[in-house]
Amino acid sequence: MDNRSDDILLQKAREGDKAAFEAFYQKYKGQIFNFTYRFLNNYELAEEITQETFISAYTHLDKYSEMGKPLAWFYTIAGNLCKNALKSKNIRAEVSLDAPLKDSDGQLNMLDVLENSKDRPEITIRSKELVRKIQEAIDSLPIEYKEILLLCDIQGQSYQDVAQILGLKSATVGSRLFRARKRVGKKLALLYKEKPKKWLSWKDANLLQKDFPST
Amino acid sequence: MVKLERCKFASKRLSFYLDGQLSDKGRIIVEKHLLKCKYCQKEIILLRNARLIVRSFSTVKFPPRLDKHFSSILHKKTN
Repeated sequence: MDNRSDDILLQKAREGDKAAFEAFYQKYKGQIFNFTYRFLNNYELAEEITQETFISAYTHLDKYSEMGKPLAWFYTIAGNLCKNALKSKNIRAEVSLDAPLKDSDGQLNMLDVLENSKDRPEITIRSKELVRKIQEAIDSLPIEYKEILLLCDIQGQSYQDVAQILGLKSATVGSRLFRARKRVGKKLALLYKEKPKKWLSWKDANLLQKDFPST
Repeated sequence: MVKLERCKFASKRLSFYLDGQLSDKGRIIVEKHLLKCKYCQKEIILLRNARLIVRSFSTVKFPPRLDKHFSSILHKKTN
């Protein structure tokens, strides 16, 4: 997180500079939307909550300085709004197959799999099924586990940042993340009769620390 | 198949280990433990695979119409 320049943008916004707040919005709108979408698994509602997150932050900018890390503050607001929405609207999770996706890092991901398999319906069906199963596994988690899994593994936030976002100790973040991954892993393990290419032995597991330096 | 005996070591340290959150000393303790504990060997594969799958989720495309709505609301607001 680029805390210093973000901090300056929000300080300016607090003094009435709407352009500064708009610049902050442009920088992080995608991240916040992705978070709310994965949290709610509902495209329209994620739009609504993303907008509400930024508007709510704007109207409460006087409270911002207490926290110090701008994006963390936005994740806190977005997470609380998502939890309230889930409680009050009794949302039925939508399967995300038709939601528009984009390639974020140029690597092969599920979108690529879906795109590249247009002429091979059997792959498309399997891939769509996989996307649905992953989302279902995430949605089946208790909310306090789901939130941590999304923040750490999809949003790439560090344990320390997640601890700040949720007002928890880093140790609690780590142990909840362990339980969340374990539940998701167990559910998804049933999907495979054969090990995907990237499945490694336990001896290789520590190599993955290098693959994902963001956490 | 023999069921492996549950190991309490796992819940406290394996995710931290996987995410590179342990000190050198902590990392060495986990690695030594992994050499001898079949339960934790199984656990770390499960955790690592879950992390890999969840992280493979694509970013969702941002809805362009939200920009218009946001801009219009922001300009009507005073903080």
